[in-house]
Amino acid sequence: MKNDFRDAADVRYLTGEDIKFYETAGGLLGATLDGDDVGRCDVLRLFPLHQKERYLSVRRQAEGHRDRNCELGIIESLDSFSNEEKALIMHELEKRYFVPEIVKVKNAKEEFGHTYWEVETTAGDRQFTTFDMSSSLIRLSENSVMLIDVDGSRYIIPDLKKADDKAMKVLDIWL
Amino acid sequence: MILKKLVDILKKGYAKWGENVLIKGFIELDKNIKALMDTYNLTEPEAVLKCDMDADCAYGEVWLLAYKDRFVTIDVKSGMKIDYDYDSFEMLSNESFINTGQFVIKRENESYPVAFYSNSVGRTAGRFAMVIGKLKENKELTEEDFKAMGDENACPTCGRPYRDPRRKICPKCMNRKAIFIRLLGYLPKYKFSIALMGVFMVLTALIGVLRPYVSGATFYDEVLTEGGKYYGMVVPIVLCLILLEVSRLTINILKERVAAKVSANIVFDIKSQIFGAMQRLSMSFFNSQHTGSLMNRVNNDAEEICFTILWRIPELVINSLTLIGTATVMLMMNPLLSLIVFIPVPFTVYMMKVAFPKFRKVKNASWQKRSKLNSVINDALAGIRVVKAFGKETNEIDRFDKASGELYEANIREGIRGAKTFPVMGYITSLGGLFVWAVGGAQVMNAEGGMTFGMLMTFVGYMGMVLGPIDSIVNSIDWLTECLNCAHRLFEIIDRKSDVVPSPNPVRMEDIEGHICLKDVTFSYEPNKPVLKNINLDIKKGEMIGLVGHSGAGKSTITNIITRLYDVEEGAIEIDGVNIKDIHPDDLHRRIGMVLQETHLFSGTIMENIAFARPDATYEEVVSAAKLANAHDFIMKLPDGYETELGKRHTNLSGGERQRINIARAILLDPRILILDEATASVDTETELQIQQAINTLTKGRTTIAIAHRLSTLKNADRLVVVDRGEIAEMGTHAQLEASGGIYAGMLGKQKEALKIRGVEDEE
Repeated sequence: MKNDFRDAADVRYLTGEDIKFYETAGGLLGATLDGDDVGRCDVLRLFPLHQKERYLSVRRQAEGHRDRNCELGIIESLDSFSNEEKALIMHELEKRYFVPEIVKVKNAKEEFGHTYWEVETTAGDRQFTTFDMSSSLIRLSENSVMLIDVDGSRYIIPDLKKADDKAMKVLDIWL
Repeated sequence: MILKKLVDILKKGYAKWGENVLIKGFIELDKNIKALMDTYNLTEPEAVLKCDMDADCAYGEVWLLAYKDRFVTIDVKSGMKIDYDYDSFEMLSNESFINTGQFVIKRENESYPVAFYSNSVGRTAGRFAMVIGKLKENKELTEEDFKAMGDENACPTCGRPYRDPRRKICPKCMNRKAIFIRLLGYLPKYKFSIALMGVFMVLTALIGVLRPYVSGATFYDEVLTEGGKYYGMVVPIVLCLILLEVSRLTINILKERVAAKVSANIVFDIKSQIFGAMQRLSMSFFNSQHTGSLMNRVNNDAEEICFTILWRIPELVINSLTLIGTATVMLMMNPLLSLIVFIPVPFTVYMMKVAFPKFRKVKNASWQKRSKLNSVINDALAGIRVVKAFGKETNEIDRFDKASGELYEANIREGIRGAKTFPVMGYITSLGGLFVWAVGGAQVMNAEGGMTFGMLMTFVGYMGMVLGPIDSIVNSIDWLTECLNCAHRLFEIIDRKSDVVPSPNPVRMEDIEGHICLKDVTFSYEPNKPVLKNINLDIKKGEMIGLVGHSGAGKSTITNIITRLYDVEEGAIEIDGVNIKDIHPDDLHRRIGMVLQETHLFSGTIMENIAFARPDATYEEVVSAAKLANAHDFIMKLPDGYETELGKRHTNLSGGERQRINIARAILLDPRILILDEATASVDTETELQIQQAINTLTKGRTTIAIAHRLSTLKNADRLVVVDRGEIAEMGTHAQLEASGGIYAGMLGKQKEALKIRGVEDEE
């Protein structure tokens, strides 16, 4: 009885048996589903903030296809996939969900309602600007936050306990 | 040539702050890339884009240089160059991810990534892809391409990103003086009143300076001291003081009366100017702005400006005058003591500049927590039915407790910080006072420099008058900035040009036949995202066209451009052979009637609502229109009939009733061209039938374009046009399209299936 609505929803969960991933000629992610080539695919996280490798939506992306962007199914876990496939999927995810972590705040200056950040991130040095902290600060957990800059780019401060004084001075009142 | 021009614009100083983040679009080639270009023997490109990420998903520097026959990517770090001949791929497009995006070229249904960029480049990436598309087709680049491309998101002077990229206002670099002078432009109309206010202000300041002198030096030294000029004349001097107070009060009341009148007038002026300006603007402006922020502009900004001009600035003037007056009098009386009076000033300024912001920050924090708590309460109360239905009261109580606890802590912090700040401030002031007592007292005892007890009392009186004005002068920077911000926002709307520009020599068309022709029309709301592509459609006079297609296919957009809510970018729309851009807007709007899904009724009576487009309509005409629209009978059931005020109590019209009023509105206009956009989507079947009847009356003999999801609604259409992804996919009669087995046939099948399911449910 409990599973009734799940049956009705008819979500297709995919395993390494059903879908095989390969690298397209252009170095992107392609797949065969039940033995049929579906061409280029996108992999999207259902819970991008907290489930990095589980619950992934696979979407058809082949150019000019009528059902473009339609979901082929959901991968609950990557366990049943080969290492090569995992690497391909992870590469695709990292590209799509690229969010650098802030390693060090060199400077954070507030001026005219903007905060100007100069930071060192896991992807290199970066300068960005946030405006209106109440809407550009998202708390991920007790000790980590995400900042969204004026262009919509995101940056994660993974551990507030280790965050610099400069950052805390700005963030303090919003936490 | 064009590049040069742009470079000149940008040369003014570019992205000094955070070069990586801020460089977008067409920019000056820097040293590094120039050196690499020399190495590869590359000439000056047609267009350039600097991407801020490398192929390994790390921040880097990859340049895209566009030439007439190819484009080239160069990675500055590795020095790697790749050429992409235009012949070797079909198109360059940009795909956006969460934080980043990539350029891909398409070749034989296969995508190949070319470059990565972060969101800061994202806005211009689409433009660049379009520029490549143009170059690929051998088209010349125009200045327009560059203008849109150079759509900067950061202030060109200081490099700070704009708060809102559409507004392009840098809080630091905006020309404050110019705005201020322009603001003062609202004043001359009231110059007499303002001059009067000026006189009152000077008088107020004068009395302010005089009073402590009379109550101090004069009273103690001349009245109470033996041998004084007015010795013993206590009553007259007290009367004199009362007189001063009364006149100050009177002047103040007069001043405020004048100010109240002038400020009401100025607020009115600003508001009507801005509201008028808004009404002139095209739809694209309203789509890009939140209604809330627009309301704010009309209301709050105008009031903020006026409050500043008429209350704060005069206050500042009075304070400055008082300060100057006081200082002068004090210096004349006793220079040494005056200096002592000013000793606390630097400390006060320090407190205001350093300690107050800290306090404000803590205060801000508790304000944050308070609004968080409010939203928790609001959430729980607004959703109380849901909470109760799911039995989740305890959860809500926990949520409230948490937010409330946070506020409690923030309040304590605010209290502690406040306790640290304000008493210290008061202490400094009183400490200064003690110095004045000490030094002044000694001077009085030794009768040094003719110092008397009365003069000392005057000084003590002045002491309080010095610190007050300084407080207001120091804070003036903040409110002045805020006011100029508001002013800038307002002027921005007032100065904004509408995208839909009326023709300078419009063609007057007394009568329109209703022959509509769309020729190669391409249109996009946002650059590079065409919603309509090469639409060609000829609608004969009196024909009824049904527009069909999935949501977001572009159906409503077609009606939007025919009514000229937006102007098309490419191609033309003609009515009776005349481009609609050349038709006088009055004639165009008088001849096009619209019935939309959203049934907006304005506050006012039903009569006024029906006569919205033709306020001169007679009673008979309004009644006829309502009758044809099947609205007459329900209107007659209302106690006030046609004079029923909408929006008042007990006048809740149903969706179908509102829609019929809208139809009556369109009937009354007697349009030649009628647009029905999902006119019956939100009503039940029976009402739909009634509305359908009304529509049938309305469409007779008129060119009609109808959009409907319920395909049965369109069964009377002469022709159906299937729109798919911005293009016309199929065209023909219902029977033709059903037989063809295309998109329309598919949609029809699905709807029949849906009806069948409903039928099955009904049987159960």
